[in-house]
Amino acid sequence: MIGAAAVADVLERNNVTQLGDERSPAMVFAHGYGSSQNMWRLVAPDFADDHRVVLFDLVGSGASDLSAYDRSKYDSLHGYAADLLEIIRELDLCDVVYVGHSVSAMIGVLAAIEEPDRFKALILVGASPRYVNDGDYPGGFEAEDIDALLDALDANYLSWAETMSPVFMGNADRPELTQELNDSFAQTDNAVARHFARVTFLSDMRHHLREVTTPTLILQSTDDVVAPVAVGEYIRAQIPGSELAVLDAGGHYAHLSSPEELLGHIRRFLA
Amino acid sequence: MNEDRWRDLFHRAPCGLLSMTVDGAVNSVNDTFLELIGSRHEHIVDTYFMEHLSNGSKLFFETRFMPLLRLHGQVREMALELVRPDGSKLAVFVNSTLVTTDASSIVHTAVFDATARQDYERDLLEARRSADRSLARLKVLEGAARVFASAMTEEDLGAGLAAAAQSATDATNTSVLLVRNPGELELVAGEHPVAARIDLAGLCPEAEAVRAADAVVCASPVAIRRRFPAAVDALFDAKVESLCVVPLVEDEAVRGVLVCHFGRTRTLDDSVRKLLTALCDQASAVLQRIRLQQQVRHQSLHDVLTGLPNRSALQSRLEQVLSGSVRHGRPIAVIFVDLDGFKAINDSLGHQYGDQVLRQISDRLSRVVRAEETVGRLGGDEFLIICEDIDEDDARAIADRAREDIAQPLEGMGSSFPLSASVGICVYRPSEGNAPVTGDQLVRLADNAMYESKRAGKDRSTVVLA
Repeated sequence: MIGAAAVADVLERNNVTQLGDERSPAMVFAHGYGSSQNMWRLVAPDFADDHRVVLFDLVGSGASDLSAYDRSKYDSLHGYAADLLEIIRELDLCDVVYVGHSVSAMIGVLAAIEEPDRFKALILVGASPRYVNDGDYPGGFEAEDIDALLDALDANYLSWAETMSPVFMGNADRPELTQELNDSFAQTDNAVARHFARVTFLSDMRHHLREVTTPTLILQSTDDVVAPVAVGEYIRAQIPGSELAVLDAGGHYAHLSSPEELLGHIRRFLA
Repeated sequence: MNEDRWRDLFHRAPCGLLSMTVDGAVNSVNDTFLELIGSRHEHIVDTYFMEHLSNGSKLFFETRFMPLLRLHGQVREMALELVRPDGSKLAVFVNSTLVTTDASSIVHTAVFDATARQDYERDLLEARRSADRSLARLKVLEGAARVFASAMTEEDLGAGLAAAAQSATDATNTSVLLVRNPGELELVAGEHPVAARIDLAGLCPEAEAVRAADAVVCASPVAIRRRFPAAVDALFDAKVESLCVVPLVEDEAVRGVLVCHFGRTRTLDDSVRKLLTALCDQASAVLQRIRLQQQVRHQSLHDVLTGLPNRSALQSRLEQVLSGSVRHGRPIAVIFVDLDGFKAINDSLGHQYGDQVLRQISDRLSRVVRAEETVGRLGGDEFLIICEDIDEDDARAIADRAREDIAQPLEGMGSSFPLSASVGICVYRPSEGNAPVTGDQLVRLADNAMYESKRAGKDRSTVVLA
């Protein structure tokens, strides 16, 4: 009987939503740093006709259960990969086509290494296994740039709270309530966002890439400053048998700015 | 307003104004912005706004600014850093609004020079961070001090240290291992994903920290592989990608280690390392206190000569066994052993020989009993065995074995001083509705039974029922 409670817990924790027929092949979409499953709105519904589409929020992001944010667990991407596998197991998904953006690309890589039998394909969008340059490796950033990002996160945290909490609360007519929640929200969200930024931008996942056995499509945009094309080429060289497709435009959020082109590449790869 | 005045308001507004597509491509820009950034119209329009940001700001813009803008339609007072064509940098505040019409979406953006506030903000930020760090450090140290102060066992102390280290570092696992037996570390608290015991002769980070009496830090998988090739497979299997081991040093001897395992490449900054060292120093002092207390407690409950539980320890053990026996309705036995012929050894060969004999007999008796029985020394040449959940026959069997072992020749004594034992056994059966008894009464009954054996010619057992 652990089943029922655990399913509810996992699905609630990660705010799992589903589209399409449960009997269709499974497709899981995972969002990147600083966003939510909402980011897939121009891509995911298109697959609902012939797939069971599963969307979720990483713990600490979107509408996930913030109280589940255990700093020790989420101090590495392994914690997020464990959650992904839990969702897949609870929904009993097999032959999953996993589409992960940005940091979630690497989360999918870890999960697919752990339980390769669950995965049919990995689609890595705007992925980077290491943001910091290291010898010949062109991550795109120096350590100081990452520090500057972390500074910016610290310097900008009050303004996020003010931007975001009225939206969450919808209580403009009771400002005192908003203010109170604003404060607690600012603290919680800021602490999580800063920690998640460190985990995302300071992790080094390069040594895991070689262990991937799942067929992999790497999608990189020519004008993505966060994950440059050179990084995509590095991943292709490391994951045995993987394929790299470069999108003409789209920046780091091709799924928002060039959804058609992205869809085309994914459909072709799955065909 | 006519067209010219609109244009004038746009271009000479007291802040930079620009509009861009949702992808961040600039399509119009005012003169104030061009002055701020020190560039020309044609070098800004049709470029991406992000191209004019410093690298750190690019990352922030792409991973935080734009997602928030898309999600909420606006962002306010975001601090960013522009890069001018000459490479100099300019701190700015940015407000953006996403305006969506049926046909398209456009981002309206206002840019304010923040140079004047930049240093102030930076100082403020640094002050806040430093205050946050101090507060966090204080909380960890305070929390640890509280737990340490009440720690009665090494396990309590270890659990407190492991928990404090975890809140100080967010490590995936923290654990505390102590040197309890020579040559080996033993896990006493926390989770160690590889082993509960670690051989100090091994080539692993823990053993290295003990040998060097210094912290061992491996910040990446590469560092682990380079320094500890023998340990790398087990660590990688456990998803450990970096680690830190801090020794617990007391009087220049390493008593144990604190281990932090991380699931990602991690460089611990100086303040965190100092905090871990401070925690370990505190813990080492507490460990010394706990070990002294344990020693005192052990001494108060054990016979100095033989190391067996003493009279006081036997009394409390017997009360414990007795109440268990009453609760579960199971019989118990108290076996009183008195040596025959010991006085002759003591008188002829001296106390030193006598003490040696008592030690030998203690060892033999300890081997005779099972784990659930307790053997102790009441004093002189009197020993007591307390047996739980036992019937008369088994108690008699234990007594017989004890007598046989005692009668074996003593080491280094020859056969000139034969030794035997007179034994009294008192069996108590609570289930038969008999009156409540005390431990002292049982001992007294066993003692009487032992005298019965003496009177009947020694070297035998007598059983009484309580």
